[in-house]
Amino acid sequence: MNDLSTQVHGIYIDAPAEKVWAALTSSEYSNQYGYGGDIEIDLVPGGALRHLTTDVMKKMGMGEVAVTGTVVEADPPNKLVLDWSAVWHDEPPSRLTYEIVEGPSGLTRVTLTHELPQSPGTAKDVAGNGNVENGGGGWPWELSSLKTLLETGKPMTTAGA
Amino acid sequence: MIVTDQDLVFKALADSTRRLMLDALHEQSGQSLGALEEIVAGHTDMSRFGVSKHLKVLEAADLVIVRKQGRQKLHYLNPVPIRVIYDRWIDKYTESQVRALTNLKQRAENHHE
Repeated sequence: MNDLSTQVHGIYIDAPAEKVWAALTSSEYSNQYGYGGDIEIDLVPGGALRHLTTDVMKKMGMGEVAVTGTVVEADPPNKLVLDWSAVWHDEPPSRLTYEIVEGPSGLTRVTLTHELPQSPGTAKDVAGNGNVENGGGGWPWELSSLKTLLETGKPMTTAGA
Repeated sequence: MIVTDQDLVFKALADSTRRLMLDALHEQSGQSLGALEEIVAGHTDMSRFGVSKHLKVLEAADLVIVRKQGRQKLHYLNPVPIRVIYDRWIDKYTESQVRALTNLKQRAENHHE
């Protein structure tokens, strides 16, 4: 059994940091990559996060909400820290940190750190097992599809769309 | 020839010691140089300098991300570049086969209606 309690996922995206920030925090983008679904987020410390389910997720038996959370720190467009819970697991909230740094060449580095010491079920799911069709893409697939959307303008969704 | 990010990933993967190190980080992410050195020593005779050099190649390919924790540098596996290669490159070759099967399935299902 491998240890997934701290996960670090990094990607370079050829887009400004502001655009990456918008893609992570607004429904305009969130329905065009990864699992899809609207995002409701109040970008102040203590603000609420709700990532809503898509029609496909509802057909799979999920309710209105896929992810709930609380904003710990919001420093647009460079840092977003969340207490993050997957509603399909009955586990304590985990700490999710996005660091977004635009380099001099215009490439933006996105580093996602997910600390889930008390949430092994969630940790396994977000790590990704490669089976995207069954919703198992996790963060690697989510970030890869974010890159595709922002660099090509083409939506890339599988499980959620 | 332009060296792309993907070239760096393929180059990094084309070495058994580096794959051994990635496997070790997959098993337990966030390891120190010393811990990785011990794992490599169990399989092959290599100096700390050699292990460190391999780590630099993995870092350059973005397959390993280094985080400082106190005085220690911990190395984390970053699976994203491999996912990007899969989505951009391998999918391209398997997509048509999947589409052919989907079409076949649709034709078969319509036939029953």
